[in-house]
Amino acid sequence: MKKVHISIRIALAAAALLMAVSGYVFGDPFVIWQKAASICLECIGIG
Amino acid sequence: MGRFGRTEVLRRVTQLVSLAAGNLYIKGWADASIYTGGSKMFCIPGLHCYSCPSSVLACPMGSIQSMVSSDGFLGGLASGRPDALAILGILGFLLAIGFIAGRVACGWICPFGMLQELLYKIPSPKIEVPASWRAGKYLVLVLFVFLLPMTLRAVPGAGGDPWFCKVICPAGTLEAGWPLVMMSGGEVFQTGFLFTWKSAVLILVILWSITSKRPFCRVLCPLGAFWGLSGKLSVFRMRVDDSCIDCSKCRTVCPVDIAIHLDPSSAECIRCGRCIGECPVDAIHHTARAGVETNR
Repeated sequence: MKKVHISIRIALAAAALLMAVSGYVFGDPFVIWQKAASICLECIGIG
Repeated sequence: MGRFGRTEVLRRVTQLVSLAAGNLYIKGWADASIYTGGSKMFCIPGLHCYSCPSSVLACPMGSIQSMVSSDGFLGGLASGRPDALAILGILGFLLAIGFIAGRVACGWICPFGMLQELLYKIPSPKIEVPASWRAGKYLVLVLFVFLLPMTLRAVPGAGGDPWFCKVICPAGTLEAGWPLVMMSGGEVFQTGFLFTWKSAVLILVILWSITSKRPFCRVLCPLGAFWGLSGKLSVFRMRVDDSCIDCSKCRTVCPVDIAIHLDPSSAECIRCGRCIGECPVDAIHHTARAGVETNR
């Protein structure tokens, strides 16, 4: 990976940040909340 | 206090502050409830169960699985359905961390990583983990976080299960399973084989962590796999100078047992900085400069 120029690395980080923001702007983060705000039976070994 | 000591104190303080910041709902421990506020739309950069009574943030791995396991997820993503598009928020958040500084959150934030480091301090015979076992976490990421939740259905047309949470995640058992079941006194949650299985996995991981350096992070953690891959292209990374004398002291102190002087851009590196402070010739550094990480 030593050939990957720093500008490409910065561009990738910027694109990922943009992706994160667009996910919250155009997506519906309610689905994340919906799962996280109820007890996850699979997580605790019940479901 | 030397440079090594200062970095370690700072790292431990950061880990504890992160743990406290992600667990502000203390009331949950009193009445066996979990937090339901709006902050749970956002993920913690680490493996921390969102069913932990005090957790005020979501687990990224749990959130990804819950989305990909929903019925018609791929079609929804292709057609731009808002509930499916939300996954971009989580993946983008995780990728941004990985592309900026690789597995830095594993070393500085993740509470389950900190627990394993503390367990390793318990005096006991120490056992090395074979390097080939590190591939296990990539299998866990692909199979248990994406493929099985997307494809396996108990009933056709229904949603799938979060298989990593269900059969592997020891953080969920420790932070949510054991506390909630114990606090409910067995009246609310009827435990069975799955609870026994997950408890056994947790006990094994605890025992393994006493004898080996951060074994779960190195062999099983899908979050570590995700950040390890993206970290190969990170802006901030490790650099080893020509002044390195190959003494391997960096490997001795490394919490994930890697020889950073041989592979500065290792996907395993958690960017904790212990090797930087321990190097007798000051040959190891963090860098964001162009093309210098493998200059030996």
